[in-house]
Amino acid sequence: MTLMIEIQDLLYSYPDGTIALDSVDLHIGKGEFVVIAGRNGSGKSSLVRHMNALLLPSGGCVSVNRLCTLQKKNHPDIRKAIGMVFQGPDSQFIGMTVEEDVAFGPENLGLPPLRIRELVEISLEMMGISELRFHSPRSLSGGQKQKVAIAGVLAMEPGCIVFDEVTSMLDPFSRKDVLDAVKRIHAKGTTVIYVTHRLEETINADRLVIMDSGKVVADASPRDVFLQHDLEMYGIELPPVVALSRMLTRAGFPGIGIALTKDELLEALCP
Amino acid sequence: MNNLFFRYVPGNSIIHRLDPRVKIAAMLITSISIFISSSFREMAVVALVFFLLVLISSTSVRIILGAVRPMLMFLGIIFILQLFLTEGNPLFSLMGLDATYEGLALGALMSMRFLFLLMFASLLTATTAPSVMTTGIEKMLRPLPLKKLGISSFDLATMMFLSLHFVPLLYGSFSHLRDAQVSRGLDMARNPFKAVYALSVPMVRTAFTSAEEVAVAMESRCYQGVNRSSLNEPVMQKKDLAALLIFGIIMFFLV
Amino acid sequence: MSIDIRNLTFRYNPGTPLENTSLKDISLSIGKGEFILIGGEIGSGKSTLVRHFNGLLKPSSGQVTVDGMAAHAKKVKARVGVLFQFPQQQLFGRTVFEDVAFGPRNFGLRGNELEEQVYSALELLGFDKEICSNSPFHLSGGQMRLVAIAGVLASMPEYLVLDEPFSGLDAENRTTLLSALKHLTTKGTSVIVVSHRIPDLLSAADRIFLLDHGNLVFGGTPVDYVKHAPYLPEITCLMKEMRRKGFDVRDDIFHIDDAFSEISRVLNTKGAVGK
Repeated sequence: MTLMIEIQDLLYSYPDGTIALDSVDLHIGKGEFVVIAGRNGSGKSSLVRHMNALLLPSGGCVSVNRLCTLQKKNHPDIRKAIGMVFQGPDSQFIGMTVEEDVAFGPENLGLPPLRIRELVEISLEMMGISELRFHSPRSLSGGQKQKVAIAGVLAMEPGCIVFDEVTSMLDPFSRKDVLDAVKRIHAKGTTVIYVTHRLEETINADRLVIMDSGKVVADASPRDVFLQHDLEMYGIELPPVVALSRMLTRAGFPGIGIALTKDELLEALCP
Repeated sequence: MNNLFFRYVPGNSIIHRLDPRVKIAAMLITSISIFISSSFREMAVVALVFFLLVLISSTSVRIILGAVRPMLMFLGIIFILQLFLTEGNPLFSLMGLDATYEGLALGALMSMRFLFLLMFASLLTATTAPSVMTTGIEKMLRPLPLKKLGISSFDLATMMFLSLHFVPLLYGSFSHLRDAQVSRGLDMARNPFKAVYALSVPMVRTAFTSAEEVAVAMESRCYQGVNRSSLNEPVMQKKDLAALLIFGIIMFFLV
Repeated sequence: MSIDIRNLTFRYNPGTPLENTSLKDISLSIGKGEFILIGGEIGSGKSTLVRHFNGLLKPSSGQVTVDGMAAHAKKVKARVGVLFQFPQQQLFGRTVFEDVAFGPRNFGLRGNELEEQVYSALELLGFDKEICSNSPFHLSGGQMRLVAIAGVLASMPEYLVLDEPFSGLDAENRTTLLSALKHLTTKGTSVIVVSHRIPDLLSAADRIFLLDHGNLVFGGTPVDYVKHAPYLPEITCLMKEMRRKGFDVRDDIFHIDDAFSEISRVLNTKGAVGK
C-alpha cells in the first residue's frame, strides 16, 4: 500500500507548555478508512490538524505524500492533498450561496472558471445537494450544512479527507445521511480519516486508533481493539451491541465473541 | 434585525448581468452627480434615473425600503439640523430656534442626497451577488500598487466580503446570548450597565472564536491571498463598456 | 405544583407574509421531580416550546402556567432555569465563581447563601472548590459546558430545562452530567432535557414527549416509547428480532443490563434443554 501520511515521533505542546501530543507514530496508507477516537482533550483534534499543516510539530515529523509539513513551501500541496471538514457548522462557510462556498477551494487553487464550474457540479451531485445551490448555507439544516462543507472539500479533489467530529451536532437521521456520504467517498478511493467519540458510527472502518492524553493507546482493527482494550478506561463508550456481546462472552457464553453489529450478534445467538 | 438590509436578490435582468466593475463605476459617477447636484430639478433627474433602473432590474420596492428604513432617523436629524441652523428668512420658531425657508430647502436637498445615495447603493447590492462584487472590487484594485503596503487586492476584497459575512453571524449569536442571559435573570431595562457587560464579553469572545474558525477553514482550503480565480469571472464585454459610457453621458448632461 | 401547557399554539411573525405556525395545539404537564425528555427533529418546534417555559415567547393562543402563574411573570424566571444550546458561549465572568453567581445574584441571593449555592452547584457537576478562582475561558470545551450548567443550577430552579446538553460531550462528561441531573430529580427538581438522542437517554427518563412539525405526536413512559415510537434503541431492535426468531425474550427492554439478563436467562434454559 502506498503511504499517504507518515507521522513519526510527533510531539506538540501548546504555547503555554502543556503537552497535547506525545511521541505519536502513525502511518496511513492510500485508500484506508481510519477512525480516530478519544475523549474530549485526548489530542485527536490536534493530531489531525497536523495532517494538513494547520499545526506544526514541536518535535518529530509529519509528512504527506513524502512532503514534510515543516517546510512552508509544501503547505499548498499538502492542503490540496488533505481536505478537512470541521465540526462547527456555521463558521466554516465562506460563500453567501452553497455554490459559491463550494467554489471557494478551487478558486484558491487559481483554476479556470469553467473547470471550477465542472468541479462544483460534480461535488454537489455527489453529495446530492445540487438543488440547494442558490441557498444560503446558513439557512440549511445541520445535516445539509455538513454536506455543503464536504462538497466544498471534494471540489478540491483531495486524495484524503479528514472528518473532525462532523456528526456530533446532528440528529440520528442526518447523522446516518452524512455517514453514508462518507462511505460513498471512501468507496471511490479517497482515504478517509474520521474523528469521533461515537464508535457505533464506524465499525466498518479498516482501523481504529484510540488516543488518550496525547498518546496513541490502541491501533488495530475495530474488532481487535474492542477485544483487547477496556475502552471505558479512556472515556469512550462502547456501542451498545458491542458492549452486550462482550458481557455475554465474559459471562462464559461460547461462540459470541465481539459482535460489531446487531446482525452479527443475532447470527451468533440464533444460528 | 431587518434582513432586507442591503440584501442581494438573484435575478436575470440586464442590470443583474452587467459586469460588476461597470456597476461600481456607475455607482461612483452617480454619487458624484448626486453631490454636485444643487437644485430640485437635478434631484428630479436623479430620481427619474433611479426609478428607471429599478424598473429595468425589477427590484422589489421592499428591498430598497429595507435599506432606507434603518437610516430614516439619521436622515431626519440631517434635515432638522439644516432646517434650524441655516440662516435666512424665518419660517417659524421653536424653543428659541428659528427655522428658515433656506434651511427647509437645504435640509430637504441634503436628506434627499443621502436618501438617493442609500437607494442607489441598495440597488447595487440587490443586483450584484456579494462574491461577484468582491471579484469586481478586487479587479479594480489590482492595478493599484497595494503590494508595496504589504496587502494584496485579494486580501482587501476578502476582508470586505468577510465583514458582510459576519453581520448575520453576530446577530444570530446576539439573540441567542440575550435569551440565555435573560433566562439567568438579567433585567436589561433595570440594569443596562450589567446587561452591556454580560452580553458584550461573550459577544466579543464569540466573534473572535468564529473569526479564528473561519481563518482555519479558509487556510485549510488553500486560501493564500494570491492568484485566486473566480467561479463567476466577470468578462468585460463591449456592451458593458457601452452601458457605462451611455450612463456616464446621461448623468453628465442631465445633472 | 407543575408546568401546565394547555392548547398552546405559536405562530412566528403573525400577520406578515412570513407567518409560520411553529407549535400546534400542544397540551402537556410536567410535575415535580420528573425527568422529561423532549425529542424531535430540527425544526420540529422543540426549541420554540422550550422558550415558552420561562416566558421568552408568549403563546399566540392557549396558556402556559408555572405553579399556577403565567409563564411570562417575572417570578417564573427564578423557578424555571433554561439552558440553551452551546451554553459555554454565554460565559463572561472573570472567574468561574463570578460567572456561576451571576444568575442567583440576579434573583436576589447574597452573602453566605450565595456562596453555598455556587459551591454546591459546582460540586454536583464534579468540580473542586479551587476552580472558583480560575478564569472560565481556560477550561476545556466540555468543562466550560458544565460550568455554564452550574450557573443555572446555582439559582436553584424548580424546573431545569436543558436544550441539547449532551451534544458534543464525551462519555465521561455525559455520565457526570446525567448523574447530576438524576440527583436533582431525587431532590424534587424537575429536569426537562431536549434532545435528538432519545434512545440513548431512555433509561434515565420518566416520560418522553415527541414533537413533529409542531405537533405533539407522542407522550408516555419509556416502556410505551419502545412499544410505539418510530426510532428505537438498538438494544430494543435486537430483542424484537430475537423474539421474531422464536426466542422467548421481553422486547420492551432498552437497557444493556436488562438485555444481558434476559439473553443469559434464555441461553441458560436453552442450554439445559439441549443437555
